[in-house]
Amino acid sequence: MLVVFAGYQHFLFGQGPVQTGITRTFSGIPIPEVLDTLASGYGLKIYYLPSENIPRDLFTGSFNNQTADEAIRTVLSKSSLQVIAVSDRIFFLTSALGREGVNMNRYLSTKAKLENEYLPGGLVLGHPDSMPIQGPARILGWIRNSRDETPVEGAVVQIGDADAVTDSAGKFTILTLPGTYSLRVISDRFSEFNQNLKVFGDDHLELNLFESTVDLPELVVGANARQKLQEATSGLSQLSVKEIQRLPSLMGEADVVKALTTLPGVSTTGEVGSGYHVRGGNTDQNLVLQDGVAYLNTSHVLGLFSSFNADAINNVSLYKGHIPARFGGRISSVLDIQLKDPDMKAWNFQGGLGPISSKVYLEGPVVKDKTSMLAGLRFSYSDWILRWLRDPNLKNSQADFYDFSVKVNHRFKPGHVLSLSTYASKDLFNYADQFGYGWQTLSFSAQWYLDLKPGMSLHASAGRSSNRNHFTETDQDKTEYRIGTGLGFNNAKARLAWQISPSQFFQAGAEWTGYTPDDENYRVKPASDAATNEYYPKTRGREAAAYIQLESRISPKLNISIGYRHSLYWQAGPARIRMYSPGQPRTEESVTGTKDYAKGSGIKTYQGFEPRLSLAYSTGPQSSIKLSYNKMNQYIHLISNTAVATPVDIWQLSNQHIAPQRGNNYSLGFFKNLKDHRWETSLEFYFRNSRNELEYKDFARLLRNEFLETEIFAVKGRSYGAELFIKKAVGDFRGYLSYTLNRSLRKSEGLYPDEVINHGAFYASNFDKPHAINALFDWQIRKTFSWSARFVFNSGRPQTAPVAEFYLGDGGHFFDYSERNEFRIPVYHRLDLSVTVTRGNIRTRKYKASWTFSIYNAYNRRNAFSVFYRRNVNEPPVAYKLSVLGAILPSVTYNFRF
Amino acid sequence: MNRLSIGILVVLLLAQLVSCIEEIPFASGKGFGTLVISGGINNLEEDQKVFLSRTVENGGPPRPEAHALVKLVESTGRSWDFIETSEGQYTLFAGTADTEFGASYHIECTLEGGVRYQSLPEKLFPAVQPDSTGWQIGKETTRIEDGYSHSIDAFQLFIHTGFAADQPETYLRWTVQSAFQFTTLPECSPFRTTVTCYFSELLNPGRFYIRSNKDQAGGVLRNHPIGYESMEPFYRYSETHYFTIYQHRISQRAYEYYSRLNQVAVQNGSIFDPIPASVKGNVYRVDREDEKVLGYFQVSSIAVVRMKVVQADLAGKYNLLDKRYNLCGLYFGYPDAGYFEGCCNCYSIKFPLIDKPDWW
Repeated sequence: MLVVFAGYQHFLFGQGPVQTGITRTFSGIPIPEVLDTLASGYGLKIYYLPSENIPRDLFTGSFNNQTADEAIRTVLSKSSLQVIAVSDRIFFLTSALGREGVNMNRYLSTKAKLENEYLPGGLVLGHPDSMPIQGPARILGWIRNSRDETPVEGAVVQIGDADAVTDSAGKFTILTLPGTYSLRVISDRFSEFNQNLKVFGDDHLELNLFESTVDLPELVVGANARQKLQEATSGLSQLSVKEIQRLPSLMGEADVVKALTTLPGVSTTGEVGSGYHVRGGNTDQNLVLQDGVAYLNTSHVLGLFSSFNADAINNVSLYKGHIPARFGGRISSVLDIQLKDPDMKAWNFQGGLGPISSKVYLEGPVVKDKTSMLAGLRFSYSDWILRWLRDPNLKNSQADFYDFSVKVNHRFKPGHVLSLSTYASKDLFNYADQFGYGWQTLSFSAQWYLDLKPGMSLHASAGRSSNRNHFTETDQDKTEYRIGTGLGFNNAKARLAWQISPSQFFQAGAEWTGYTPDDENYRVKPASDAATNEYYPKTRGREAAAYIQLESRISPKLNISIGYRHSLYWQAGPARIRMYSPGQPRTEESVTGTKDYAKGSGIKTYQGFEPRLSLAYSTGPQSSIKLSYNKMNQYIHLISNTAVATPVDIWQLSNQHIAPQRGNNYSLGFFKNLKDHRWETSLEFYFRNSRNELEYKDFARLLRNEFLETEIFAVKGRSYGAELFIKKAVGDFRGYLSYTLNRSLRKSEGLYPDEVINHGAFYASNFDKPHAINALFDWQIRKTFSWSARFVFNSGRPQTAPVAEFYLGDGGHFFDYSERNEFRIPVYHRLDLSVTVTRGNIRTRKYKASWTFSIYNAYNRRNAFSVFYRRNVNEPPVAYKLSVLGAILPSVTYNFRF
Repeated sequence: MNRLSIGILVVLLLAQLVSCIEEIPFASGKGFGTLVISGGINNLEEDQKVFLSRTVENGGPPRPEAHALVKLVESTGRSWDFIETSEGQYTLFAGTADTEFGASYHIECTLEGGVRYQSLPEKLFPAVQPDSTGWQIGKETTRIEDGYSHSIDAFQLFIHTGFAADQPETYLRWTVQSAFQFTTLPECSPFRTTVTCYFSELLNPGRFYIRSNKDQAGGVLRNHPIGYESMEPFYRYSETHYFTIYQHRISQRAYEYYSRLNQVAVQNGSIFDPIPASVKGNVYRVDREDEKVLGYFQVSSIAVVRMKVVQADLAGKYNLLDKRYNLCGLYFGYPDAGYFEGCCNCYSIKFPLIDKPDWW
């Protein structure tokens, strides 16, 4: 019988009795058949590589009580094959002696020993015939919760000295040499699992863990820290839902974006405002993905809350340094949010009640072990607060939001899963029938995972996302004015992941996005007449990209991740393109003509070369140095001429006159863990230069403007800084402290006066905050009682301020303003506290509940969101600061689960 | 339609919840001394004025620029000199220049040191006559006190104007001159004689009421607000009150200039505040165009309408104090404190006093 495993073949004839001597006569028999006869007749095992050429010469000869070794050597005496006798009945045939032969000898000895070793109650991984001749066996495994078969993330799997940590899918890979080991699985929520293990070769391992009252977080955290230290991805921050939920919160609402801002290098412009800034980048330079679908808006209530439901999230990864080649389209960072995989075994329900919003979440099997689903809903009911207010206009106002997530998983078999998900969110605010605004997101996605073979998988997805916003105003005569914009896109992508060898991981994929913007609609609806509509066409475009990436362990100390992404963008018709007089600024006056393009026709093409490189070099068992470089391209821009981005800003695609943003990101990090990885420290430096970032002419007219190129122009960007981070991740008292030095600068290089800012010198961007300190402490006093504290400090953001005053002839007083962003608003600092109390031992109760008491802004700091200037009649001008959350904000949240 | 109002909403809402607005110290320590040229000419038979000054520290006293030579230049080549009638104020007296519709005009200013500035030429278009006016009494947010915006009861004025169909782009600006009379009580005089004073002031200085038919559906502007006046002090409405409404037809450049001044004047710190900047006008230094010069020289044609309001018009709309028994009665009851002196001496009223207008 010929058996092929792992690239090796051998004749396995060893089922017969072992005889002491060979006595046999062959006459004109082909050598392979002679060997076959000897093996089957005398219980021998004869191995050789497929590449070895076993001669088919005819053999004639006799053996009389000779040893197997003598017989085989006689048969092959005329060939170049060497015979290695591993034992008196195991032989290996090779054409090359030396190192390979020696290895094979060792291999066969190990294999024979393993085969014969008795292991009471032990697991066996791999088949003796699959045992690799060289190198380790690859164990691919999944760890699940025995109660509901949900993945267990963060569990440490140890096989001998090798270990790994499970990912969000509960998946791990361990490379270990064949042998006999102890298998150990440790998680902070589950009982420790121990088992003897015999490893022959590559195999799958699936284990279900049982929930436990024993916490073993230190080992888990230690393993995580060790893994982070070695991986060649610098600037990657990961947050679990558990970590997010431990943070003190505003109004008791666990918030993904606010949790991100506790990380070094991540900031917002204030309590309100859409989006966040990473390492000096603008809000539109962050790619936000939820289950692979891009999101343009991340906030509710103008940024007071994020639009992601933490209950439905499995984990959150922020790439702010090295960005793997599978991501693209933004030049600053990638936020990858993974939703939970719903429970396949049992239904769970959980929820939370807060003062202005509540949430419910459920998950469970539709068809047990086959199909499961989750659904999460958050909704506000803040109108009751408005009803309490004295102002009659506010009393008659309306403020609502909701978001809704649904995900359905169907598992055809292990490693073959189809996942469908949808997400909807909406914000609406109307002020006493006078004006209002709103924005909404609706998305669908389908994802298909398929393990093609051990170590190789395919992930394909397709999705559609629609983002719309509007604002309205009503005149004295009840005429309603409304401006609405929107951007939708269809996206399809496929990725192949292949663990080529224990030290090499390869990925390749392609992606396509078709943008479908809504034309900007300006509607005027008089009270008594029919509405009139104006449409301002927006740029249409398509984007495609392909990439490859290889992660390789070049040596035990050096890991490398190298990739290349090539992106292609083309502006598509229909469109009317203006032409401007050369040598003149783009204004209404310099228009020389227009050209119309038909639907679907190509207008302008851009492409991007995007190399990605990251290196991690271990300088010791608990230290490493990481270096990374990314080149990124961005074909979509947020048009916002306010100091803080808002959810009703306009998204604009690159076109003939608006070039893509291009950025080069560099980072260098030093990482050092202490006390057996219980403490993590790091110092990272980063630098980014970019071009074609958008800047605005003074008083740019951005609405009802089909030709935005007359109001905007391209500038250079430069960001640099350093992040110092110290974390204690182990023990009842945990926390971290970080300091970030960050500069975010811009420089205009326009030829025309309207396109020159601050005389062409570098100036601070709207979100330049040079200094930031974040501290977070979490103390688990008892199992049922913990408290946490967070302190934030950062520089005030830049501002253009009035520097002088002048008088016009008819009596008016007016301000003359400084250079762009020449001043700063006051520094920001705040302390938040929270206490979480659970009743009894929640692990033994089916109904689990906790109370969280939070105090936001504990020392009542009136931080400035903005500073503005007013002059009341006949009085000198005064500077005012607006504090959006200028009071202590206590909150109580009741969370439950059953 | 703009986002500022939405911003105000956010401020108002948050102010009602947990936000707060408070005064903070601020001194820029720079930016003083920039030249400001403002004023303009129009088609009315009245004195035309130009003002030259320098920027001052926030809250500082005006700093007029004196001893300059100011000249109005027509596109035909004709020119007329302004006379410096007070420090920094230059006047072209009524009847001096016979401006014509269709011609372009600019000014040239030569400072004492010889540095020359001039404005960009602007055309004088025929005036647009308003159809009618209207008013109501409502609330206006006027000022910030103790960190919060305050509303007052105000007399709000509106205009109804049809844009000419053959004028695709028309830009309008409104200014309103308020005038009222106040008569002393006969009881104040042993001879029971009375004195009537007349007062006048420009409404809402520092705020520009403008509109273009580019932003107007249907070609007719209805109920467009053009100004307001506080209902206090009450004596303003105790007798006859006139509002003289000037409807300026201005250039597109002037319209954008005023629009931008409005934007930077009404910052409220909200998320929707546009980034402010220096507002450039239409005046530049002849030999160095990159020098910052502020202000605007406006060339406009004006149509004038006048609206009369008497106390009876306010009946049922607003409760005014009775002049004799409520407003002035305090004087007789409490001569040493809290009385209103104007009831016996209208010259003491703190409003700009004028002679009785011809049209009264």
